[in-house]
Amino acid sequence: MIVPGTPPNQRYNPKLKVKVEEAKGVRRFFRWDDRARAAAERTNQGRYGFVLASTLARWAEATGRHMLSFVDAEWYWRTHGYPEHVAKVFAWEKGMSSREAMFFLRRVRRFFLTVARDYGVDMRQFCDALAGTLPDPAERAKRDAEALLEALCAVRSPQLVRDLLFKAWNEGPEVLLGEAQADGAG
Amino acid sequence: MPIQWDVLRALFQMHGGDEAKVAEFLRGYYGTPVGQEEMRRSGQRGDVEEFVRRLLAAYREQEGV
Repeated sequence: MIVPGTPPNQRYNPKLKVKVEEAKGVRRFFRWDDRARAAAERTNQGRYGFVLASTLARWAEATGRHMLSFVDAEWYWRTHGYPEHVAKVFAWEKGMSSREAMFFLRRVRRFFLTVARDYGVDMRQFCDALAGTLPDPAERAKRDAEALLEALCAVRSPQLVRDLLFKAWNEGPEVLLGEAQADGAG
Repeated sequence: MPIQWDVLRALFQMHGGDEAKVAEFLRGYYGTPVGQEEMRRSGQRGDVEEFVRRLLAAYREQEGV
């Protein structure tokens, strides 16, 4: 799916998708279990949010990096691109080498673009996706979702992130906030 | 990791030379637990605002601007 407003050079590219999916260690992140799929069937946004958070959690576990590193990386390349000086700042902030930071930014960018193409939404909509079950999709819901995202990023277990997200789509993110924060603080 | 001049230079480049934006970025970073820990390790106490102000003043002196 082409995201409205996406520059031509960032539109769907089957080669890029294959490359990303076949990259070492990434393919498995796209696997869903049945429960995840059932939860994701609800909405496109929900599906996106679930895949994204679940993937980030697994990715963080596999690389030993904090989930927020991936979220931050998305912010870096979206707002500043990834020239060398940006990679240098990101490297300092995350305690990586510049080379590792550049690789990280490129990989994360490709991942987000791929998911955005497949689900027709971008990272900015991710927070809204987490708030999908709240009746008011406006500012309060967005704040709740951002708080939930932060809390989820602090949760230590990828399995728990998936469980929490599953509950989120059934019971609403606000119910989970305390649970996620409790684990993050524990 | 303590911030070095070349990182500060890169930060200025990233923000188009706008010191207010660099300061905002640094305040955000040093306000996090990681940033606070870094401040503690380098023997810095007090508030983030003051720390960032001194850091940028030192940078200006270093760069001769």
